[in-house]
Amino acid sequence: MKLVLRKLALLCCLAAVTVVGCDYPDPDFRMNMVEAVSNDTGPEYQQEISDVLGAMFGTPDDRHAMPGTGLDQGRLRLAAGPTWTAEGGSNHGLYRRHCVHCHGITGDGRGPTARFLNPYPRDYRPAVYKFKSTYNPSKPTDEDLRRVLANGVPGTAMPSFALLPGSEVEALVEYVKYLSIRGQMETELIRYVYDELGEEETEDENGNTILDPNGEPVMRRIPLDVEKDAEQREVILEILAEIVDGWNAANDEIIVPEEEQIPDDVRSAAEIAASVEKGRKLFYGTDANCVKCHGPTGLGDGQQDDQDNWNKAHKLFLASVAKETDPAIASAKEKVAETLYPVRNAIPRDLRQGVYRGGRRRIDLFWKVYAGIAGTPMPGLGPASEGATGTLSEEEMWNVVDYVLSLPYEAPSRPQKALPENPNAISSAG
Amino acid sequence: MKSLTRSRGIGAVLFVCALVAASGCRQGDDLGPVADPDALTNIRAAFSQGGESADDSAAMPTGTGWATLKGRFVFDGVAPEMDPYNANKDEATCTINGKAPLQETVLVDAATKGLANVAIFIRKAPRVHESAASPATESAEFDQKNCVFLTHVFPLTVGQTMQIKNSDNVGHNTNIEGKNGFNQTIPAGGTIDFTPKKEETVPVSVRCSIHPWMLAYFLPRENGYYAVTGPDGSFEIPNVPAGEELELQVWHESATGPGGALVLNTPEAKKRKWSKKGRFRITLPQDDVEEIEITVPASALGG
Amino acid sequence: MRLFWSLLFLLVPILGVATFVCAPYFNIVMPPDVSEHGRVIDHLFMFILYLTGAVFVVTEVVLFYFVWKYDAGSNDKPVKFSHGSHALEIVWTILPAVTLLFIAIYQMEAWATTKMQPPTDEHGKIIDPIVEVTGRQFNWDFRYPGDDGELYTEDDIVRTDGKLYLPVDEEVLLRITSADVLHSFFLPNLRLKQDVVPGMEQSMWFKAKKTGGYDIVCAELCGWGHYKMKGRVFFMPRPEFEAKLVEMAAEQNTMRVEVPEEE
Repeated sequence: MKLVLRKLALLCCLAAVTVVGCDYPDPDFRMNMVEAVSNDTGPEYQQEISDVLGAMFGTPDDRHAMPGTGLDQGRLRLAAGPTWTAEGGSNHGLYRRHCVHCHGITGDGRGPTARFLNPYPRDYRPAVYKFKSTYNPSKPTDEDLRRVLANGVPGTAMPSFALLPGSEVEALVEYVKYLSIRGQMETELIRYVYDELGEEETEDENGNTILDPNGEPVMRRIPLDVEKDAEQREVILEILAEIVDGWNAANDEIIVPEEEQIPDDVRSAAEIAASVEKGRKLFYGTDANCVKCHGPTGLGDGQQDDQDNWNKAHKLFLASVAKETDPAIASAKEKVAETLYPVRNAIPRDLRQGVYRGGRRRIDLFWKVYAGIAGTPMPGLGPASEGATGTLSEEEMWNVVDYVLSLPYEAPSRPQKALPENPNAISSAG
Repeated sequence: MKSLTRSRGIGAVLFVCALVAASGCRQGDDLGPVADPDALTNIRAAFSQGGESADDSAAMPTGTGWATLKGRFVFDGVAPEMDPYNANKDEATCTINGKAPLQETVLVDAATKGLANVAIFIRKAPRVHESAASPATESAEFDQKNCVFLTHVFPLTVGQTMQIKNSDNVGHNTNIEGKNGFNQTIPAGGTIDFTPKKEETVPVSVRCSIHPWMLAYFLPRENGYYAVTGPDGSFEIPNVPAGEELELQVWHESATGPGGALVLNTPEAKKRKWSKKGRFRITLPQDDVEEIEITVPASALGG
Repeated sequence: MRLFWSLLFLLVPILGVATFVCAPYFNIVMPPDVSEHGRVIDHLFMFILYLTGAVFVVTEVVLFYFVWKYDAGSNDKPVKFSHGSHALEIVWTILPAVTLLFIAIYQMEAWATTKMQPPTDEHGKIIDPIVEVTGRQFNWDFRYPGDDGELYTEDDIVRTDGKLYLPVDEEVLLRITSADVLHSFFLPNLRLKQDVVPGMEQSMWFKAKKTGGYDIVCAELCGWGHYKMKGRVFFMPRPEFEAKLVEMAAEQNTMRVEVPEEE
């Protein structure tokens, strides 16, 4: 009897072990709940918006991109869907193979490993990108996205994918844009539904408002019904066109440094030192104000109380949860608030480390100084758009770039000298 | 021997329970709906037909002439006390005699009980008077001093130029969110021009990253049919289209509706059919000067 | 029962040897060796493999024999207890000890040249590192000293795209560091691996004999991305290497942008 019980227990344990973990969530696009709940989007509207997005952009396993999006279908085919390899050796499902565990299946930066990373992986849905060559509110160019994939983002968990064949990198760039356009469309649809749809009074055949026994008009919900309502279709197509135009305009919004103000390729040590000194004065001055956030010694300890856009949106959402008076909405908001990752402040870069997330070419630093970093508190010093007024001249901005590049090599920045003595290290006294 | 077997048995049961419990630990990321596969083909077919613009006759203005809408927003309840801003940087400039300026989230005039900084604007104007058309030629100044934006709610007609001024002896950066994204450093004592190109449906926030407590709101609109109540709670929008129904959006930064829509449940608001989105409709006869008074209870501002 | 269990134990050496013999046909072989010193390491590897393999086969066959011969089901004679054999004990202690001692001394040279004796120049001074490799979660970053030959000066070239360029047919010294957690810089085609502890500087040196691109992988579990922490090392003739450095320095100094043509 005891033996039978023991064998039964063992069998149960084995069964439990095999069954646990078989609960893989299906790869589905999930709704942007922060936006939906902030805009009082009811469950019926959420389903309708989900269906419209599914029609326009497909599902993760069955991707579809409407012609209006201007996306390359061939590249999306390589990047989307489950991972598999074709006979000829071409890899499919690239996004899931390389990106999904951080960036999430919806591109919301909430993949399974995301919560363990600092900084959090990028959420593509607001379509705000930090490391690009265009003006602050503009979209990144394809080349910018390719650079990020090629170099990774040093100082974060984003590695380099330069070892992938060029066609795979192109496919991933296209898929990221696809997820961004989808995310933007989702937010716009939620806002459109809130702004224009909602409840209206029901009317009878003569156009008179139907009243209920209390004398209040009977309200009915205006459905988001794309099949029946041509006007809604038109609006949605217009919204899509505007979103896509924003992406297509990126190439026209690249910041091109003025040729005359670019420093010479070869400069003497004295010229470089003069430029560095000018940059230092600007860094500490009240025009550029770099020191206010980056700190009096460039360590990034100036102003640490602000957040980047993604964290600030969550912070404001959490504040709105506390203020919410309607109990139904409050409970919906609380459910969403529980899923959010802890809010982190945006810590200004420690410039003495010499780690440049957006690239370390001179022009990469120039672009950061010129346009700031979109989505973060870092402001720009150049004109906000073509023809606008800048705070510093381009020559002054190149001086600041020189100063920033010299900071990691100043004597106080050499942590290598502070490394503990390694008794096994090869002494160079040969 | 028996106790050993029993403890082993209990151990096994606990182990299984733990496994089952762990398998049920979800991250809760499955909120929200999933697209219904059956609906997709029909919707796709519908999209391929393209869309139609709204029926033109519905958009045709039906009225003639112009009228003026003015009024007051009055606060009902105990005016909340404002805390000072958390000015923890550049205290020499940002504090006056060691005290930071007070926040402006709910500003009620003690004498008249008027509620300041309420934005009221027409959502879709069927016709636009030339004085309210865009682009207006003058530029509008948006200044900041003692680390406070001097205009707390700043409306603008698209096409107008905003002159962002910094009257402090420290630098500020002005960070405007929304469709007209802008984030540039304004040098101490300097002015930077900015011309927004897109309108917003509700005011968006304006902040400074160096002094993160600084906060103002910015409302670019395509026409001039907007007003922000002054300290006594009064506003005036002249030359609005008369003879047709206008829908007005009312906004306040502390209001509890989505995006700051001022939602009112008072009987007088119900008479105006005040919607849950902070909107009401009104039709003005030609050459009328309509004066409305709206009472805002403390509960509508999160009080 | 004796058949079943003894054959089961006999299967172990049979399968072990069979796997080893058949591996090349399934392309399970050591990656091609392109370094000068890799030859010694491979030789040591195979020597120890054959030596221990022989011992393994012998002991397993003996085990099979005993399991077969002294199976409980087919033996009805009472067990004979012996008081041990002093001579046997001595033999099977000394023989393995000598073997192990032999292996230890035999490999000293290989270990010393790979891990303890960095290459020196004509004055007897250890050569300067040609690149500093920094492992971070989950990428390999490389820093070249630039024209002045000194690391952490303003003309350093820093690359984060996982592609390491080195000259061929030259003794090179790499400095390995870690930016965050334990990593291990592993070059399979050069038979070299160096664990790195954050805060410690380690060195690795070798001489590559063949041009081409070879893998860099991480060999110390460093987190969930350990499996994808890869790089590629490219060996090229010295002039090409110098030209590559010039090209990378120029790229770091880029101050212009090419606006793409209208499509």
